[in-house]
Amino acid sequence: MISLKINGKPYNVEEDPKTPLLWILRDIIGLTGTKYGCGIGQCGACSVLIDEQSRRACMLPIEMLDGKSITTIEGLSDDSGLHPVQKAWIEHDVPQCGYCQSGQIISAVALLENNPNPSEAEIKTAMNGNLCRCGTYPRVEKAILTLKNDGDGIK
Amino acid sequence: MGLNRRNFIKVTSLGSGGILVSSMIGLQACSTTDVDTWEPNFFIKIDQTGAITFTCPQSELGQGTSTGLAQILADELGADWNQIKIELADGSSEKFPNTQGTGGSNGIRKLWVPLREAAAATREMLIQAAARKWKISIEDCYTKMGYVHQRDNANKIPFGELLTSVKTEYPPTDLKFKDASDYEYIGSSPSGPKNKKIVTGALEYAIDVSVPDMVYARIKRSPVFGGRVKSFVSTKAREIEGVLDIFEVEPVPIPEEDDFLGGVRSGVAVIADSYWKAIQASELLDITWEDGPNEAKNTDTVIADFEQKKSQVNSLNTRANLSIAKTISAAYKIPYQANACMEPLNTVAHHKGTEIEIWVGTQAPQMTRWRIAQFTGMPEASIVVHNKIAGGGFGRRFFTDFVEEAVILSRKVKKPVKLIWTREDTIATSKYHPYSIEYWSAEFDTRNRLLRFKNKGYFTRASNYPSYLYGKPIAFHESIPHMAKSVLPRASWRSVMAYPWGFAMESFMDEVAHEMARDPLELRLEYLQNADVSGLNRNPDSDYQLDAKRLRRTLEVAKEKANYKGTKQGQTGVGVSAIMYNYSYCSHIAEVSVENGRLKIHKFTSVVDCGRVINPSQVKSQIEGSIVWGLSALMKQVITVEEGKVQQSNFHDYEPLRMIDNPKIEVHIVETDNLPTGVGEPGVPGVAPAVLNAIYNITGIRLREAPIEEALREQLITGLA
Ligand code: FES
Ligand code: FES
Repeated sequence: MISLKINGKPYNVEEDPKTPLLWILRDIIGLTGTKYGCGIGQCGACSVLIDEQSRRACMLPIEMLDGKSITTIEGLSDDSGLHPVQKAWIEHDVPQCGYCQSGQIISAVALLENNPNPSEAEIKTAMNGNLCRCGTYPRVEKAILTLKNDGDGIK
Repeated sequence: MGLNRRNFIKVTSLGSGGILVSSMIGLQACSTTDVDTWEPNFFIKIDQTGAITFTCPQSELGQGTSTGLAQILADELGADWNQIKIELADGSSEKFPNTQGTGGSNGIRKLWVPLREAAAATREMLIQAAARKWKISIEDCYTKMGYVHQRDNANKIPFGELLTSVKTEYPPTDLKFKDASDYEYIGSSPSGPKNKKIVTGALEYAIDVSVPDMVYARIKRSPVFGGRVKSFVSTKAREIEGVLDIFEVEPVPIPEEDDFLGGVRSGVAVIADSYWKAIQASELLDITWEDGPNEAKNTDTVIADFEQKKSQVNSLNTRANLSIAKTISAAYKIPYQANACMEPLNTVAHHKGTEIEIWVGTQAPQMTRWRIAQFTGMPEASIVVHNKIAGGGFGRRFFTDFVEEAVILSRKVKKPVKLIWTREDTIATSKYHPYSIEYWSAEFDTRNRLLRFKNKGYFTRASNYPSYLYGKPIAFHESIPHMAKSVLPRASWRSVMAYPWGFAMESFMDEVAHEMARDPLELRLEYLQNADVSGLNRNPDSDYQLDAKRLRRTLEVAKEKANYKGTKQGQTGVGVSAIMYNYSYCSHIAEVSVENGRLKIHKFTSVVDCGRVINPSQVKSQIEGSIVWGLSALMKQVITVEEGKVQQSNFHDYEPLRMIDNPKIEVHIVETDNLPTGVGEPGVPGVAPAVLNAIYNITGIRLREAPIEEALREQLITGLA
């Protein structure tokens, strides 16, 4: 049995310990905001926050995560409202189909937590693992730029 | 457009523009027993709180149509944007005849009139109900922000409080549309309800649907198109706990008459209690395949053979009466490519014996329902297709194959089945944009003036696909059929035929300009200025007519915004393209450089004219997305076949553009009060030629075949040596 803390809630998972976190989230716990895109760590659609890093849930067997705290897209906002990154995403009308966007947002949150003032080049590098087939890159970049400490902020 | 009262109270048979007639069933309102809601037509439902549900017949794939249409509805009705909810319509040929296929960037164009008619009729009925209550004339009332107001005082009543009385009202016989100057939402960019759901992970795609008793499935399909299962051993796969069933899936051929209608590859299905287990077990299957007629085929040889046959058919014929001094020719090639939508193909299907319920993100909910009926022999009325917002479509979700599969599986296991394609399945055993080749030539007179073009490609004549607006005589010598079912099955692609067409035509225009020692942008402006394109209009009575001047204007604006001063500026190569696609016009200017043998695409300046703009933010984001799409396809994406098997399998070897390589993109809109047209695709066809022309200008290397990354690198190395 593996203990996970997901969005602040404890779970004891009795599935095969080799099962990637992605499928535990989606099929067992029912948190479907984390998406399946490639299953091999190439697209970032499955990104979740673990220790303030954006990690690929499709590549993480739960046996590696015993006792860990995990934040998914559903855990970013709470009763007090949306996370600033989520707000910026709406403000800049970033999503198109939206399928990659929970991953994009998680990676942006991780970036800004670790580097509150990223340069354009740093943004591009940090977000390079998140594919978007709809081509929302210009807006992802713009939204993150306004969130920088010295950015415009969210109007 | 006047309305006949009869239309509202009688469901008549429907002509091609029949949506209004079908949607306006006035008596439906009178006879309903539901006191909480009022549904004046199939688009609109209003409840007591004043919430307005818009049932959107078009699919939402990220192109934003549902939001744009909701804005149109909200304006014509006088609704409060914050009270609008959007639901995608189930597939229904009864309710939405001929209007549910989403493709060709047609959503806004198709629904601009009927949707406003539905909203205007609804508005007038609400006004009548309020006027009757107040005992005043309808002339003294108007709607705004979800209320009927009195003109000369502050009295107002919310829509939700009129639900009982409005049900005895009839729609007026004459409808007037709102004046554009009264629009509040059209022309602005209100955030649609879907964005809030997306950023919180709450938007439910088909892949997220869960119904009681549902099981999960993966099919291991024949790696060779046309191959089939000979035998299989499933002992190991069955050892995985949670595996419920394993069985062979019989192939269903792609219908000869219409390859949109899916077809199913031979394979072995694994049913399990979670998708992860289904994947794992399917990989443990030991399947012996019979590879069939394609077993020894390679794309290289198939294509070489195809090209040879096609080029044998004479080059391009000549007409004797022109005094031709010189001819230049070129051939442009696009490989097999996979759409690879971000949300892998999937369907939840529940075959209940005498009924089937389906949840799927599809571009064709109506056709899917029809096809499943035909396929199962059940009446359409017993089949429900719930259309979900899809994680990308790009033409691939117009095909019904993955829905057919899910229905077959559910029929077999008698439970709801969630079938998901792995990413590998979507790349290696899918349907593909077919290989294409376009031949162009141009003839010049003794003074090096262009006499005419000739084209041999996928169109039988210019008017078949009227995207040639240059006005110079063009001869269509021969149409080349796609290599549809030869080695891989065909799928549609973002901008369909205009993709190979634009790639070739706009590259060739550049070659012509260089041949004439003219600036390629100025030459286009000159041709477009004098072009007569009236002969290209398919339907002379249509409200939509081609206009070369509108294309010209986008190019002029691009020239100005990009500060264009010729094709080569220092170390930067500049390339131009201009394309019309389904009555929208788009010009691109690309700026590139080559540093250390590596291509860098710095900037796109793009200008679009799509008539009246519904949502400028979405218009721009569609052009941005089109550029990213076009660059992905141009740089690296290629599907190749060896011994019948696709060689690519996932995003590592079929890689879309990533953020690091994304250029700066500046989109400008030329706003006109022409009828609104679509923006999902018009940006795509001009992307590749703009870049290729820019590369030529800075390197002298003329590339005519996608993808270019490797070929360019090789040529640059040779050039340096
Ligand atoms: S699904 Fe995990 S990186 Fe693509
Ligand atoms: S918004 Fe569609 S894949 Fe990114």
